[in-house]
Amino acid sequence: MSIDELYERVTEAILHAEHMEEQGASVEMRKAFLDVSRIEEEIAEATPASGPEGAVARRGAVRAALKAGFPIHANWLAERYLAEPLPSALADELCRMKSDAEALLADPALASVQVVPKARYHFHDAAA
Amino acid sequence: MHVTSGKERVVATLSWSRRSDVGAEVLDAHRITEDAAEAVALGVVHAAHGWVMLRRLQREEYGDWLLFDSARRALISLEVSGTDDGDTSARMAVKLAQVSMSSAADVRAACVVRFLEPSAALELLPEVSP
Repeated sequence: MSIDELYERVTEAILHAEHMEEQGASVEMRKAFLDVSRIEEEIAEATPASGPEGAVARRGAVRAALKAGFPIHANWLAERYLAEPLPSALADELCRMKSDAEALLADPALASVQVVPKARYHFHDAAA
Repeated sequence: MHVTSGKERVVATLSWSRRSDVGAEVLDAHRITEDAAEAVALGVVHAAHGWVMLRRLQREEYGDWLLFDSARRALISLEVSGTDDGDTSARMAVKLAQVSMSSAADVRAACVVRFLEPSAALELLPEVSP
C-alpha cells in the first residue's frame, strides 16, 4: 500500500475515532483507536524515524494504542521505536508514553476480571 | 467571502454542489460548522499557497492537518477553527498559540473561518530554525 493510501486511511480512522471519543468511552471507541494505531504502525514502517512524518506516525501508533486500552501493545511499540536511532525530542515523548503504559499495567484494576452476575431465573417470580 | 492571508486581502467566490437537505434536522450544528470550516480552510490554503493535504493529525499533535508545500518542499501543520461567536483575531491568537506547540512540521499556520459574515483568515507563525 502506498503512503498516500495509508494517509487516506489514517485520516478516515482518526476522524472516526475522535468522533467516537466525543460520544464517550465505549468498546467501539477503543476499536476505532486500535485501527488508528495499526495504520500509524504501517506508516511508521514506511517512514524514517528521523523525519517529521515518521515521528508523527510513531507517536500516533503508541498514543492510539493507549487510547484503545492496550497498554501492553503500547509499551511494546514504544520499546520497539526507542530501539531505533531517534531525535531526542521524539525519544523523550516515547519515553513519557512508555511510562504511561507501564503505570496502566501496574494498575491492579486492569489485571482483575470484572464478573457481572446475571440471574437467569427469578425464583420469586416463579413462586408467585 | 473575504479572505485574509497575512497582509493580503481578497474577495473569493466559493461554490459547491447542492446536496439534499433530507435528515438535516438531525445534524449537529457545531459539527457542521467545524466540517465546513475545514473544507473552506483546505481550499483557501491551496488557493493561496498551493499547499496540499497529506493527512489528518491526532488531537494531541496540536494541529488538525499535515500539509505539503511542493514549491518549498516543506511540511505544514495547520490548525483550523470554524466559529460565528466572538472576535476573529482573538480566536486566531488562541489557534496560533495552539499550533505553536505542534512539532509535526517546521511551518505552522492557523485558519479561522466564519460563516455569518463569510470570511477566512490565514496566518503563519515564524518558522522554527533547524
